[in-house]
Amino acid sequence: MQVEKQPEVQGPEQEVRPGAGRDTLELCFIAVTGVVVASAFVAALTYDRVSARAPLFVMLPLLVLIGLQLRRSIAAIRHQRLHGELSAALRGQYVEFNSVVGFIGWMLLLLGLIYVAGHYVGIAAFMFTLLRAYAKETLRLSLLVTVGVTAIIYLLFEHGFNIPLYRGLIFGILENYVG
Amino acid sequence: MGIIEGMASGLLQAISLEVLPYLIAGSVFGLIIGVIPGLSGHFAMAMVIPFLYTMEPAAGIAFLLGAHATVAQGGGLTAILFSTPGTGQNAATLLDGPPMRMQGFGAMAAGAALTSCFLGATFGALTLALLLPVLQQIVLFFGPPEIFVLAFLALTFVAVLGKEDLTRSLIAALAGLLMAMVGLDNVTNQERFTFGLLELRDGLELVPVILGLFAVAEMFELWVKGGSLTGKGLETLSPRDAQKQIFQGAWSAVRHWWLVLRCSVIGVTMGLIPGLGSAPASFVAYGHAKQSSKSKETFGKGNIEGVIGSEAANDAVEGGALASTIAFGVPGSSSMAILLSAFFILGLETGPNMVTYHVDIVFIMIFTIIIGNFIGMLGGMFLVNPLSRATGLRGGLLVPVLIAIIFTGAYAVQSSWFDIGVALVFGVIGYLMKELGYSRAAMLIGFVLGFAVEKNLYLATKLEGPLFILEPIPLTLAVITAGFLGFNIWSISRDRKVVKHAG
Repeated sequence: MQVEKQPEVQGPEQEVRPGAGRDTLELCFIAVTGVVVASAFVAALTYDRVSARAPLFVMLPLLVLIGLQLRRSIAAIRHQRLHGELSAALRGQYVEFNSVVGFIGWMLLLLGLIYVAGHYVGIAAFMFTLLRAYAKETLRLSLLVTVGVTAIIYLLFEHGFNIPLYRGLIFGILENYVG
Repeated sequence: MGIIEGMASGLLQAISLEVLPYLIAGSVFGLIIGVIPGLSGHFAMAMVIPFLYTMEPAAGIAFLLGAHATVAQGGGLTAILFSTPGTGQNAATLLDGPPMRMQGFGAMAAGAALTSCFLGATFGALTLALLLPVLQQIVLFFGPPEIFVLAFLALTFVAVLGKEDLTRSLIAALAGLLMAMVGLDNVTNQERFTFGLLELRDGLELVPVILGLFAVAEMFELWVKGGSLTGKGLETLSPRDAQKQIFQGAWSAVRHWWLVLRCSVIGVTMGLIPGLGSAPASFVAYGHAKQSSKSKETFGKGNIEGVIGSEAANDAVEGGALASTIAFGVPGSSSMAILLSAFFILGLETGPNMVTYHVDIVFIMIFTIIIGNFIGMLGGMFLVNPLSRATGLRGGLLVPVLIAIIFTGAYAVQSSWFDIGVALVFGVIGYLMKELGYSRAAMLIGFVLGFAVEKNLYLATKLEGPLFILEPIPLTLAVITAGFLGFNIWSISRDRKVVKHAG
């Protein structure tokens, strides 16, 4: 990930090494992957021999490779830099990182909206909000795109493919109440 | 089913009213996706996958392969007109396409690129047809032990020959294999790696994983980039002049038929090798075109042969890549892994069953590639100006719309809200993998092959005992795999030592 170079994070006396933020990100990524695979390995030891055979066959070399990559990542980064970069990221000093985290937040919001208000309301609200707030599109274009895309999805899935999309928690409660 | 009978049936199905509209829709969709920088062929295929559940096999294949076939044509247009390759496989076109545009021959380069793509793809598809009788004989030697080892050979090739780092690619491939083992074990009925989640009992669904890795991950990039997708505007010619130049370019590709043929052979051959893909093929073809040209000095400055060579090769690759996917069920690239997933969804089985009993399906693929590329060529030629306007779309406008469509596709497969979450999680994983240089292709191929690996390991040990690897073909394949991997590890460590000494 390209990260914005922050002199106040690196310190004026420290050299700004290209790809330093990337190393930190990779270290976190590979460490999390390692923990997940190690947990899966321990879980596989409790399985029936036939069920455990293939996963263990795959996980043994995988754990070795993760260990190797972890060593490479640790060697590429110094402890104080890791700490400094992590805290800078958490303080919101990396623009691209903020953008990615913000995008994940928007998608989680969409997920929640779909769950509560249903698919059509969820995607329509999501599209309209993002078009207005993020893309700074005009009200007319935002409305046009939102209504158009939602209508196309409705026609395509409900009528074209006969796949009813999720109506949401509120609809379910109301339906039970009315029914 | 015999080959002639299969060919006739395949052709009739491909041009039937039940299939042709899907083929046209897929081709147009692929062309538009190809034109938009940042959206790849994988994206086009991933977006098509959720719709396959409601389709007949022939229509589904036509829709999917139609979309895949024309992406490179659209990408070539963007590379020439905007100096931005629409897809990675058009990178070699950047060497001579934009210089031609700057000299005022942009539309000619576009015409040559579109026609070369069509000719290269046709050559690749015909080669697949010619290989079919040979494949029918070879697959008979491949049982569970052979397929099990072949899967590892393919994964090794993908990991070693891909553009990513070897260790990272191997991690991705093995993680993909492990992902396929989530859920109930078919043999013992034991739950594995479900972490108590009921939704994971049937394993991870292919579609949300594919959508996450290849569609949601692309959205992150568009989101971060924002703004217009291309930096420069289009200096359009008058429609009449543009059309004239396009036909001159198309004729030029036909006149250079010998170059098209040689570069197509390079493409098909490289397509047969798992992991190489079309981008390296187009660069090798470009190099060959330059070496064999009488005017080497003009390459890189706007030589039409450079455009013709690279574009012919990058579409010819598909014929070769399809051969190993269809015959052995072992995909060599992420596109082929998505295609293999589509076969599962459509209820088709690859391997001896397909090349022997479903020859018509193979020929539907062959005709789909040819007709799809023909549609792409015509569409590109007559709609070059409107198509090029698609690159003016802003990331901020595209992302919310595409995310809404992607999440709808993820939900529709099983009517499961959980699958939207899976697509989101794999979107984040896919984006991180792309940014950190972990091969998403290796992960997807591992995931798709995981089912086959476990099934064939079980069958091989049941049929041949634990020493099945010592049978002649598995042993040969295992030695090739180990030798190839060992040689690459040795050459990487040698290079590091050289760099260390030089430093």
